[in-house]
Amino acid sequence: MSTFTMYLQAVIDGLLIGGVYATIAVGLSLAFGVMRIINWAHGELLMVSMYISYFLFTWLGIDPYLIIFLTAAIMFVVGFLLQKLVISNMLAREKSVEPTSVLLFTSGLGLFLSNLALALTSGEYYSAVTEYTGKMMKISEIFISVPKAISFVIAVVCTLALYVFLQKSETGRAIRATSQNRDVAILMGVNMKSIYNIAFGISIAMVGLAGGLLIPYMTLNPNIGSTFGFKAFVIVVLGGYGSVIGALVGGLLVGVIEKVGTLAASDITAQICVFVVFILVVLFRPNGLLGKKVKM
Amino acid sequence: MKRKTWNPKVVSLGVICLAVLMIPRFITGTLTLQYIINIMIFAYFATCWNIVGGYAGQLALGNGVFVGIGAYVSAVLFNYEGISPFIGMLIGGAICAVLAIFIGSLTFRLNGSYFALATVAMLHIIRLTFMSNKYMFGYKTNGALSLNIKWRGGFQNMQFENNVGYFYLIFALLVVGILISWYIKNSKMGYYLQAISTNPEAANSLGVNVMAMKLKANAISAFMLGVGGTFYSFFLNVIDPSKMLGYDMSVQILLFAIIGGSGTLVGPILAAVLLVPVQDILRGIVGASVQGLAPMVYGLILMIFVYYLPRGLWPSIVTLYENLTFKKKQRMAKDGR
Repeated sequence: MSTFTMYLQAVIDGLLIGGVYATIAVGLSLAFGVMRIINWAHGELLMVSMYISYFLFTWLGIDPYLIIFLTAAIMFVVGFLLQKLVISNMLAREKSVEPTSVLLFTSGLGLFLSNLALALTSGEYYSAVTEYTGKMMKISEIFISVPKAISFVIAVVCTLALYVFLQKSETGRAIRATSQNRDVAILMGVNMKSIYNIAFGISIAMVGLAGGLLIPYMTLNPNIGSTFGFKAFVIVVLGGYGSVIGALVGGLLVGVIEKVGTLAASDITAQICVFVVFILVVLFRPNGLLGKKVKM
Repeated sequence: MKRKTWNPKVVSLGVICLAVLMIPRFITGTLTLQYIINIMIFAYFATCWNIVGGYAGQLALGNGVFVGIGAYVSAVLFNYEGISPFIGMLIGGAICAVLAIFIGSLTFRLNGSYFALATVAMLHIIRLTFMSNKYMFGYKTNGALSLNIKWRGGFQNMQFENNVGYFYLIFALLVVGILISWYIKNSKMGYYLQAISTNPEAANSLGVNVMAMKLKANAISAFMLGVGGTFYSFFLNVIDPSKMLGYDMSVQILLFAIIGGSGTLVGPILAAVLLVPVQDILRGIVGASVQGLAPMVYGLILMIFVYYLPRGLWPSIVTLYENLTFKKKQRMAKDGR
C-alpha cells in the first residue's frame, strides 16, 4: 500500500466519522445559537442515546438504522422536557445573556449520567453485533466500512434536512429569528418559550440520531460521552455558533484531522491536535472559520 | 455600654482550630483520620479555586490541572534529585503560577463560557501530554502509569509513619490557605476582584486593571493548588495521572466551592466538610464494588444546588440567620412598645 493510498484511506475514514460528529455538533450549535446555552452534558446525552439504541436493538431486534428514528424521538422528548421543566426556569432567573449557571447545571447532569451508567453497567463494555458490523467494501485500493458509510449518508442527509427545516419552515424561521434577536422576535408574535422547548428538543434529538448511527460500529462504555462532548464543542467553535453548514464542515474537518493525525503521529497526538485547534480558533477566529458574524 | 470584647469570629475560629487539633488524641483509627485528612485537603483545594473562581468570578473549569502539575514537579525533584518536597512545592507552585499567567493571558480575553471551555481544553492538552510521554524534561514520569514516590521518611521529606503526622501537616496547610484567602478577600485586591466579578466594564472604567488583577488571582490560586498537589501526592505516596490531572478532579474542586457558595470564605470549607465524607460513607455502605456512585451523587447534588440554591449553601444560611434575627428584633421592638 503506497503512502498516498494510506493517507487517502485516512481522509476517507475521517470524513465518514466526521459526518456523525457533525450531527452531534449541530445539536449543540442549535442550543447555543438560539438559547445561548452551553450544554455541557451534550456528550453524556449522546452516551445515553447510544445505550437506548443498544437496548432497543437487542430487545426489538429490528434493523439498527430504523431504531435511530425511535431513539431520536425519545431524545426529543427528553430535551423538550429538560428545557420546559428545568432550564427555562433557570434562564428566566438569570439576568446575563449567557448564563453560566446552566453550564454548571449541565456539568452536574453530565457527571450524574456518566457515573449512573458506570454504576449500572459496572464498567462493562457493550458492542452491538448487527448485520452491518464489520462489513467492508473495496474500491480499488481503498477499504470502506459499510456501517460507517451508511451512517455517514444518513448523518449528512439529516443535517441537511435540519438546515432546510430551519431555512424554510415557519418554526425554523421562528427559531432563527429568536437566535438573531430575542426581543424583536417576541414582538413579532413568536412564542419564545415554546420555540426554546422545540429548539432544545431538536438539539437533543440530533444527539439521539447520532447515538443510533454509532451503534453498529462502536463499542459502548460509560466514558464515551466526554470524548464526543468536547469534540462537539471544538466543531461548533470551528463552524461558528448557530451555523448548521459550519458544523457540517467543522465535523468533517475534525474527523479528517483526527484520522490523518493518527496516521502521521499517534492517536494521542491527534487528540492533542484537536484541543490545540480549539484554542487557536477560539482565540483568533471566535466566530468560526466560516461562521456568520455572531455577536460575542 | 459597649465593652471592648473579642471579635466573636476570631474566638469561634480559635475554638474550632483547637478542637480540630485535639482530634488525633481521641480518634486513633487510621481510616477515620484518613477521611478527615481528605476533607481538609479538598477544603483547601476549594479555598484555592475560590480565589479565581469565586472572588474574581472566572469559571475556571480546568484549573484542577495545577494540582497534578505541582504534584509531579515535587515528586520528580524528590525522586531523582533528592530535593525536599518543602522546596519542591515552592518550585512546583512557581511553575504553576507561571503557567497560569501564560494560560490566563490567552484565555482571559474570552467571555465567560468560552473561558471555561478553553481552560478545559488546556487541562486535556496537559493531561494527554503527560499520559503519552514516559519521560518529561528528561525525568521518568511513567506516562499513563502511576508514579510512585520513593520512601525516605522523616518530616523534611513529608513522609510519616502514620496518618497523625499528615493530619497536622495538612491542617497547617488548610489554616494557611484560609488565612491567605481571608487576607485577599479583605484587601484592596479582594474588592477589585469583586468589582471585576460583578461588572468588569464598570471596574475597568473606574481604573481597575482588569487583566492584571485576573492574572494575579489566577497565579495565586494556581500556586496554592500546586503546593496543595505536593501535600496530597506525598500523603497518597503515589501519583495517578488520570486522577491527579483529570477533569473529574477539577470538577470536584469547583463543585465544593460552588455548592458552598463561591466568593465566600466559609462556603467551600463547609461544603467540603459536608460532601467529602459522602464518598467514604457510600463506599462503606455498598462497598467498593459499585463504581461511580460518589461522583453520581455529587452530580445530583450539584444540579439540585445550582437549581434551588444558586448562591450556594453558606450565603443562604447567612440570609436565613439574618431573617430570623431581624424578625426577633422586630418582635422585641413590638413587645417593648
